[in-house]
Amino acid sequence: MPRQEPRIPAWIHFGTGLILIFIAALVSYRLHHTGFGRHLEMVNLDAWFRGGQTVVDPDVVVVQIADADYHDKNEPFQHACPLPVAGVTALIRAVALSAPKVIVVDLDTADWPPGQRAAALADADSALGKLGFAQPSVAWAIGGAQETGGGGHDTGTLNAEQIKDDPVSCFGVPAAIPDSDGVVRGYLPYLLQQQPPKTVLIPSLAVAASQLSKGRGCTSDVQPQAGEQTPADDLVDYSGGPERFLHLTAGTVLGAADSPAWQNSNPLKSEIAIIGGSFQEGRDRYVTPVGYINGIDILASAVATALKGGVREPSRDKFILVDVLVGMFLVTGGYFLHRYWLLAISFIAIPFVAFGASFLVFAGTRYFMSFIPVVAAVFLHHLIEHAVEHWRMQRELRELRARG
Amino acid sequence: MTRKWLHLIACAAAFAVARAQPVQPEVCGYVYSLQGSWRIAPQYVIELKQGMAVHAGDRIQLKSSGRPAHLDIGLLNGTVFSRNCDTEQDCQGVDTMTAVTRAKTLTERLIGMMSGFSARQPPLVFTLTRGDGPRPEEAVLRRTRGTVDLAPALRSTASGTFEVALFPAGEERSIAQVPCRWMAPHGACALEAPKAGLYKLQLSAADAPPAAVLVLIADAPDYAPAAAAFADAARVADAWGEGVRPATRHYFLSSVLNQLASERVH
Repeated sequence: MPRQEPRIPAWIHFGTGLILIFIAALVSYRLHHTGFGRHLEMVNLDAWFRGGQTVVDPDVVVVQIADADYHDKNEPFQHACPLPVAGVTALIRAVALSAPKVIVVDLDTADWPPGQRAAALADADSALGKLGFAQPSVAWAIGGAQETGGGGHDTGTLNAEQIKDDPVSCFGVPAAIPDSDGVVRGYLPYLLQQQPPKTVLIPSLAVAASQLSKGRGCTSDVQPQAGEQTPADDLVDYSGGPERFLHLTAGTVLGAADSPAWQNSNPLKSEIAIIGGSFQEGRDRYVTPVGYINGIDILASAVATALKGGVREPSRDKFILVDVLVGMFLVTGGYFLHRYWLLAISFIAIPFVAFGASFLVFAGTRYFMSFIPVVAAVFLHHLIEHAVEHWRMQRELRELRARG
Repeated sequence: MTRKWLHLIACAAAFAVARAQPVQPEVCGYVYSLQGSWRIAPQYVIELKQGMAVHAGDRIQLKSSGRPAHLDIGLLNGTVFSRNCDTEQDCQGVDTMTAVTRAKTLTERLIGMMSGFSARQPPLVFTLTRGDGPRPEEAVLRRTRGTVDLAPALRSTASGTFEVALFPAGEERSIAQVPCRWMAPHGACALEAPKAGLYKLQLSAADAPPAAVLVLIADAPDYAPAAAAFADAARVADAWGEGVRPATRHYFLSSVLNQLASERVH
């Protein structure tokens, strides 16, 4: 069977393909900054998260006040709201005795009396000293309740303790907020607050925890741009879902912390331990790409993401270059597999190639980019070429009939 | 030469055997509370102690006759394995611990991935968790170099993305309209106001009706006394408690702001 050569010259095929794909790449980059384009991309990214492997996270462990801990009248939480200071203090002490690297307290301690936070750690520090363990750094959550620092109920005014920045203890905002469709996909790396005459930078709790685990000040790496009021979201990597984090109940840590066996070997040792509530009354559950999960698991995912440098999105040049490369790959395939029946197959195959490329880029490099507009351009290129060929053949047929 | 080869083969065999050794069983939980003598079957040599790790596959049985007895193991998936033994008949059997982490199969991952591209139910959001739309509150706002920080008016508003508009009192056209990503209670939402005075502040969210309140924007010299007077009024309103209708509170605080605005003018 003779090989069916493409009738359109190569330079036209590749030339029009390149132009269309370049336009699509530019459109794609523009769409990236619009709500519609962003939504399409996020649906794509959500799918990659759901398809991710569940590999136990080596850095982050969750200590949760579960329903049983909260409702048990014998446990220190006693079904009270806000959580009793003594109960939270006991839990922080127990976690500190487990020798983690960083403790992240995702509980409301805004109304604690002055010095209570330091007192919560002082008892554990002396015990840790005797055991020969280093003192853990602590990131405290602010937000979720009105602050009472400064002048009475002057909401939003942070006191000197809360804005200090040192490599041992600092404050952060659990800054995960939902997108317009109600799904929590990202968190603000920091917030800027006007406290005339100066602007105060408050890191997110995830960034604070990540920085403390690296032995740095919480805001040492944060560089807000001039005139910036609110930074762009950083995406949370939900791959593997909440199951990728080891979870311990507060009762487990409280019960085991003073035992020699636990102090010798436990899952919190040298890890980032996140303390928070998963009890129903906390109403701290949100919709995420991997389902309806506890706020503490969102924070754990955000901390793990911040530690690994985040879900990176390519710069404009890389974005356009990769789009053009993938598009030209598909156009090249279309040139060498130029059959009419391949048009139908390509309608099915091209999306798989595009999504596969996106998934491989994400799985391999944690870079996220969507190739949907480029796929559309390749479709368009195929259709235009086939339409032109069809039109030319019809014309030739008419000419032959006219001669005959 | 032959000896050299034999040595090499022996080394390779030893390495292969070492590689073939079973990996240490996975830790699945930690004992945090127990009463009685709980031991690991079938040898029953190892007695569980507080803080000790248990592994997937461990078979545990109560070997003491005294009652009551109990065992609580905190599993690494955030659940608790408990046995409570109050009578002689309780806890006669052997419990086998199972792994708490299970890797998703390829099929499960593919189904999860593809489900993302299909039509989805709109996400269920508990209004108690996320708030029932924006809830701005009457407030005195400070104007610094033409910019007004809206935080005091948003103190009861749940985190979210809003469209904020400012209407001069008695007018229907907004003089400033900006998007605002509010992170309770420390978000940075600000807009430009050309002059101090009484304004209607309106917040709109995509999935909730807009909400508006009266705010008094004051320049730095007037701000402190106006804010102090308004704080007194807010304390009075707070003292009414939950029994008072929200509308009553709004009327009262709006009247106070009106009064403060007229005092400022005169």
